[in-house]
Amino acid sequence: MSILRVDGIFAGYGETEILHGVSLHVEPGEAVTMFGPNGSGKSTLMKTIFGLLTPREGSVVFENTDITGMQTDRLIRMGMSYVPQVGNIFPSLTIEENLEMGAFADDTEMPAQVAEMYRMFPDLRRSRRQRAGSLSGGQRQMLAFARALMLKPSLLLLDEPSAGLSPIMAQLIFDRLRVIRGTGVALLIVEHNIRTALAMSDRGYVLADGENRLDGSAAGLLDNPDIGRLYLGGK
Amino acid sequence: MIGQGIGVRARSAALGEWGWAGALALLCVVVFVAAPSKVVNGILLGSMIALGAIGITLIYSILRFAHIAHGDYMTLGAYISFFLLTVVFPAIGIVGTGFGPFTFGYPLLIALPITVVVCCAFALAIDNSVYQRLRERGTGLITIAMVSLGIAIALRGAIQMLWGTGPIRLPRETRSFYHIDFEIALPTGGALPFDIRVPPDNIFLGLTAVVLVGALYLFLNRTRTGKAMRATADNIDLARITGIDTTRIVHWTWAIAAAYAAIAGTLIAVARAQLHPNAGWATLIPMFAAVLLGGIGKPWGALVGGLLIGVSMEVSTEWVSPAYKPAVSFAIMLVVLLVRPRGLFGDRDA
Repeated sequence: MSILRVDGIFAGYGETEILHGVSLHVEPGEAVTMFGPNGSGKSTLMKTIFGLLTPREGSVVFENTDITGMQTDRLIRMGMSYVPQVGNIFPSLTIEENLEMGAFADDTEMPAQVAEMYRMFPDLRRSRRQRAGSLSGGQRQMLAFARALMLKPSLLLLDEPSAGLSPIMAQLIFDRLRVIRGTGVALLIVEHNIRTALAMSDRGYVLADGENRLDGSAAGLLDNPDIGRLYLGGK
Repeated sequence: MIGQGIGVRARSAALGEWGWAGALALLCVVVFVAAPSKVVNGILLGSMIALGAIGITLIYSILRFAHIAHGDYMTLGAYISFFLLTVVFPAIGIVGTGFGPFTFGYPLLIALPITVVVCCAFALAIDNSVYQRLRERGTGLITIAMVSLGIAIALRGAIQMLWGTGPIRLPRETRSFYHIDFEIALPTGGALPFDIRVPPDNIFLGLTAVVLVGALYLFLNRTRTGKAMRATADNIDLARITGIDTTRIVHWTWAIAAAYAAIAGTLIAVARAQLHPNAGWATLIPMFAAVLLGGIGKPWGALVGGLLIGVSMEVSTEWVSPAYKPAVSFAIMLVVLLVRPRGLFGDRDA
């Protein structure tokens, strides 16, 4: 049974329709990468899944519950979490306060979860009393992951987790995502760094012009000559 | 021209926020020697400007608009307290003047919490019926600020209809000043005499401000809701994504801002022993000057800014007519905007 099932989503902003009937699904514990050219609707789809945008048509089902247009704090309590591409930490709060905010919707297990996040991201413990704004780009991304993991989500949505980072830092980010995946969290990743993202994923979707273009196993997509030509910089 | 502009910017960057604060502190010491009483009373009166400025800066940090009606919220607080003290309380037998060393009576201490509740309810009702609808419609922030100007004018008009357009004297007992005499020995052998005169009421203002600012500090740094308020001020979209109930944060913001405005408005009227429908409106420029001086959106900046503006306004009366007090704060605001637009403690990108 899929943890997330997106069915025929039509959505957009104001008069503009960006998604014209997109569908996808994520199984429990699975890592799925979504990619495609700029403007293909990846971020819009993420926002629609997370209830920040109400679709005109179609449905989003999470853990057998129709969550189309559901309030964000309820989604978070149900076990979905979202890391936006930019502005994903609170810069004037300390590292520890950022983690506390991650548990705002339900702080019953907060101290244990904070300790768990420090175990998973030891760098954060060292600077826990520092303002988050003083962190480097890579550390900020780690903090954003930790914040999103505070309520033990079963599905984590990640929008361009390696954007703006050096190749070495991007590699570290993906190493960390592998660890997160190892704890049983399902991942839905939008990523430009396609090769690296697919290498750690089970399956992938290609979006173009707000429609499904291709999908399949990660290995299959990596071997697909069309994908290679269009997105991976091959011949 | 361009060269000069760069020069100013480079200097302001070289000084840094603590450099600026230090330079201002040094200036304060010099001024203190020249007019010690006015500095002390300026700090105490400035603490009320600071309470108002903290409210304006909190509202800005969460809702991103300049709340122009803030001065009139203070006036409303003063008139509600006055109404309780002169009409409601005497009718139920709560009367008295000369509480401790102060010119006012103990009923003021009962009136203040009631005034706070009424003003919070008023601010929340206005948010619910006006601002929230504008936000839901996606109205621009300039338009919302102009709406708050409209609310300011309407509120002042209502106060004038209910209580008249002229000043009302507050009943109070005459009390003497506190005298603080001391000398500071100079290394050259002489002594610098100080004779500081402080009205006891001003001490009450200062103590109230200390308690309220301390409470705000604990709220923002130690409570879940306070931390969530700081998070919302940082990034309201991320706050929503994180599951923070931003609507509730907005309500808390209005409640704190209105409560502090009501107390400041009442106590300014107590210190002056008079109510005036324009009193709050006239405090708006000093409050905005304090907000900008401290760095917009920074509660601690607004506190420092309020104290500095209060001192500047009081000390200026040493040389110019007290009628120029608002002009002094306006001049400071202009200088801040020209030399260091982000204020003493503001973010670089703000």
